[in-house]
Amino acid sequence: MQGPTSERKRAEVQPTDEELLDGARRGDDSAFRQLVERYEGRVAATVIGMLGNTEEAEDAGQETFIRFYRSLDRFRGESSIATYLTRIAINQSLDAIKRRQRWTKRFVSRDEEEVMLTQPVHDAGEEIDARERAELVRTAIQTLKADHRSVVVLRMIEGYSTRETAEILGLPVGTVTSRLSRALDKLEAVLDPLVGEA
Amino acid sequence: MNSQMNDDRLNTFREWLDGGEPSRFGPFFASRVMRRIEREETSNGLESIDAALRWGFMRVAAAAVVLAIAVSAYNVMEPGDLGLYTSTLESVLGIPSQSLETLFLLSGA
Repeated sequence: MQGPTSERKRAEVQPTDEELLDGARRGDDSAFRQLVERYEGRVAATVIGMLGNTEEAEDAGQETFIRFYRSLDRFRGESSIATYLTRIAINQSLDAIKRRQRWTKRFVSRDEEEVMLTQPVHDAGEEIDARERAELVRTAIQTLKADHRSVVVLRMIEGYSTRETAEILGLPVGTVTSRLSRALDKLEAVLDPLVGEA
Repeated sequence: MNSQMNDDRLNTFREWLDGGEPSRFGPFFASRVMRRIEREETSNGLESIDAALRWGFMRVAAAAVVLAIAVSAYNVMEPGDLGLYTSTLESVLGIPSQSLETLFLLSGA
């Protein structure tokens, strides 16, 4: 039987990010694998927040780690691994959204597109529990424009400050603030009739 | 003021989001990533062998062309017995055409 002491010991021997990075740079695949396992939740939150729980999100997540692997020698640690990965994940997601928009423009008529974006996600007045409400927020985020969505994902889901968000996206702080404000207005407009307390 | 209002709204939405399941990839995500990396490395390895062979071939081909031009130039400038060649091509290649009799004579038969 394993008690708290053995768990503490296991936690103590967990390698640091720097140790894992060094190992991965020397070609130790298991070190890189541990980094993937350590940060996959973080990357999942970003790409699923941006793209919804889709195959595109899984692809963007995989591509994020593959790009990180290719850039191991260039990564100097000026930002944390989490921030570095978030930046790659956001770029991958924005690329996926562009591809999706090109596809939609080519194969989906304007009317169908409007229906896809404004279709109610829940019947108004119906009682909803916490899980459903969370799902509604996630779905509502998907109705935002890509540049507004990235600000919302970083500020709301990842918990970055306005300044950090501006740095990750390479935007002025004022632009981030105004995009966030407009995105929240839109979220309220979408969610108000469904939840009633936004 | 605006920032405070944004923060309040953000916190409300964040609380709502916290009520749901956290976003995560399907099981064995790390294994899928490692497999893709392995596949890419294998194909990169084959590509680098291919590139090395092409590079080697280009160098050998270039050297062979230079040598052929040098030998041809030598043949043209140093034709030896002038009566031996009957055409420019023969003098460039340094291979005079021979009659059957001459060949018999050369072979000592």
